[in-house]
Amino acid sequence: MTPFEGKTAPRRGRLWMIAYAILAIGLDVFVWNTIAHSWRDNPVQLVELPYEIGLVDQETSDYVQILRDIAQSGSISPFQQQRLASYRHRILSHLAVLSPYIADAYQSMSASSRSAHSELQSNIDQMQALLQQVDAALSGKPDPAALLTLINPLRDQVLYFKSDTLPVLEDDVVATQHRSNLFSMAIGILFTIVMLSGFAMFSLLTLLRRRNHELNLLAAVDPLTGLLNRRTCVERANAFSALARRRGIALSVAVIDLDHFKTINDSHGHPAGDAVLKASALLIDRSRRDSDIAARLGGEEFALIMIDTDATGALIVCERLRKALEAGVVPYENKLIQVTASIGLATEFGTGADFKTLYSRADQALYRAKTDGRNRTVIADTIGATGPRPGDTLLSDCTIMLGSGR
Amino acid sequence: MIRIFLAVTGLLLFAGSAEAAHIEPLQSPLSPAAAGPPILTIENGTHSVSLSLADIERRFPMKQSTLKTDFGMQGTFEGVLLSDVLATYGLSGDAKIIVSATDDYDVVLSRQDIVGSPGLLATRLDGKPITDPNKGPIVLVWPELEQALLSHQIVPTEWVWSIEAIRSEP
Repeated sequence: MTPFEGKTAPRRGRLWMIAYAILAIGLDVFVWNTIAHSWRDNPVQLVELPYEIGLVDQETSDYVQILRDIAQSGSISPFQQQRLASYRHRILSHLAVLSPYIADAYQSMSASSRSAHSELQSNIDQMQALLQQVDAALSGKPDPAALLTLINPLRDQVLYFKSDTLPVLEDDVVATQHRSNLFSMAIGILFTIVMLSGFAMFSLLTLLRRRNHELNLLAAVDPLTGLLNRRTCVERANAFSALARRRGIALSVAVIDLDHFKTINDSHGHPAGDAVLKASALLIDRSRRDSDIAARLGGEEFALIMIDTDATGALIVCERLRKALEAGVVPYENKLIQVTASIGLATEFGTGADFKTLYSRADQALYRAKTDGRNRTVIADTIGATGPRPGDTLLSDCTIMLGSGR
Repeated sequence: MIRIFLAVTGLLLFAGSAEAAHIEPLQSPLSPAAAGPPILTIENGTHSVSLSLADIERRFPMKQSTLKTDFGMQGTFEGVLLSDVLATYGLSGDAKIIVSATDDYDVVLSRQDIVGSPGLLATRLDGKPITDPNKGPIVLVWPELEQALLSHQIVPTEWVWSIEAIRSEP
């Protein structure tokens, strides 16, 4: 929006960027401290074995106890025979279930764990062999000595079936934890990268918008003084003119020309002239209101476009500026350069005059200000203006002239 | 901790948003506009299209914003986003957009104007078509700049009533 278009965009972009940064950091901390942490703390899953392993332990113990009784008595009753057969059948059934399950469990173990537990399957085989040897020892009259030699190996084998999990070795635990840590870290890093990428993209977009805004400004301003250049001034002044016509409000154009600028250049040099231009531009810029346009039209000529401002208001602004220029001096290389300005002012009240027309009238008034002795403001009379009329004595050093025959 | 972050973020967003009116989706459905004559012409240099009130309200997502202007209109403005219209008819890439009103008022919108703050092409005020012959049928308002407008920080050349055409200029 004229004349401060785009000022709100970078400010809003900065706010969004701060909000995004805070949100990103917060979420990142949340991910690292809770989600990833909970993964990291997940207990290592040991290889669980089916419930049959507990039954093998229990039923083999009972089986061994019966064998011990038989070895002590040296005889076997039909009831003991029946129980032994029953236990034997059940133990073999459980071992038959365990066998393929353990083979599967081996697949999920590391090589070292698998090697350490390789005897598990062979123990099952040995168990089956021992049960066959017991059958042989019990065929006919029981042989107590033979039975006693079998009882201890059977009892030892049972020790292997006391746990319902396979005792996974340390390297398996470490490997599992390592995988878990790597996974959680990867999630955290990925999330951080996503957040940083978003932030970088956001920053880049904001930067591009700001650069674009700066480029637009650069194309619109006079590089020496920082005021708007002539082209932009004309564009905006014409927009102001259209708005003034539409809304039936006043539009004033002041053309400001520094007095004896050629002499300043000739006697102090062009750098001194530039310093005078910059200092004068600063004063002009400070004297304008938010809604006014200040521009350098070229050379030592400036313009002030004041919308919704009649001749009286514009005259006050121009006189304040002229007096400020007159009162000040421009320091340059231990010299103080005195500057004054002549100002031509033209005002329209909703007549639809474009900037070119208004500028032309203001320029004629400026010419009059120059020929009348410089350092003064002259108003071009216009139809409908509420400003001073010829003969008014608004300001002692202000001259009113009749403009372009209207 | 996350609560603090979210609270601060929320406050920041709120602080950033509390300074001006906002454009938001339509809160309650409007009665469909009756078929009528074209009220808006859009030209993209090679093609021209004329839209009626019903066309505009049917083709684009309707938005609304409650605000006050400095030309006597205030209330809830309902309409479509200027950027939606420009994008649909291929005017988004052009450097300058010219908005023309029925009284020969023309304003040139720069890319910065359009990107800097969303403009609302309002077809209704408080749910009713803008029938005021001096202001309707379409008004261009810039809700996020309401405060700047009312405090005279900007010159409202881009706040346009009685819009009849939008065209691009390379």
